[in-house]
Amino acid sequence: MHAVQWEEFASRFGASTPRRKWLLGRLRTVLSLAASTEKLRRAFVWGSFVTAKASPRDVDLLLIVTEDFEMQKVAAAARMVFDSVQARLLYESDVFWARDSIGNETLELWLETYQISRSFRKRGIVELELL
Amino acid sequence: MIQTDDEMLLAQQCVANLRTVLLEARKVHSPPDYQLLAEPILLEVQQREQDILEYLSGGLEQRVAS
Repeated sequence: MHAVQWEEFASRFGASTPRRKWLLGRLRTVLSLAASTEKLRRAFVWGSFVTAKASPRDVDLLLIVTEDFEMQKVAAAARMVFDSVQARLLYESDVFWARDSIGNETLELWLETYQISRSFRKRGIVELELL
Repeated sequence: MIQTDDEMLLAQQCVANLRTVLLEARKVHSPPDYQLLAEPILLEVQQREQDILEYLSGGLEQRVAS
């Protein structure tokens, strides 16, 4: 797994085609809304967006939030990010999330599983370094 | 999607892993939060289980046809 800063991520995966630029904007909005909760700890991206594919279908994203994250205290706009159906419709993103109290072992199992696509290709996962 | 027995076993392992993730998630999230976060994982489980069933069913159809 690679950990990269936003600038490097954006230039590598979000600049080469109009579709990539569009999805990068969607991702930026998702991360900004998630960060507005002040509970975002880690963010992982996988799937076609972190490949060389010119026109990725969407962005696959896992957000890890702090143990005291409570959805009912989250502002309405940011709540959309944590609702997978809304996130897909509004941000063309498959957003997965969990509190960090899920534990490192479970998180590693989760990421390890998503590294294997349904067609059994090994997928790369990128961790975005949050500011 | 699944073409070999080894791939089917791998798919089963993925499903088992995701079930473990869900079981752990249930312990540390409120019921409404769990419901939201589980939805895309359950969809993935469902898709992978469907792949397994299609692979196993396909083998049966071929044997019946021959």
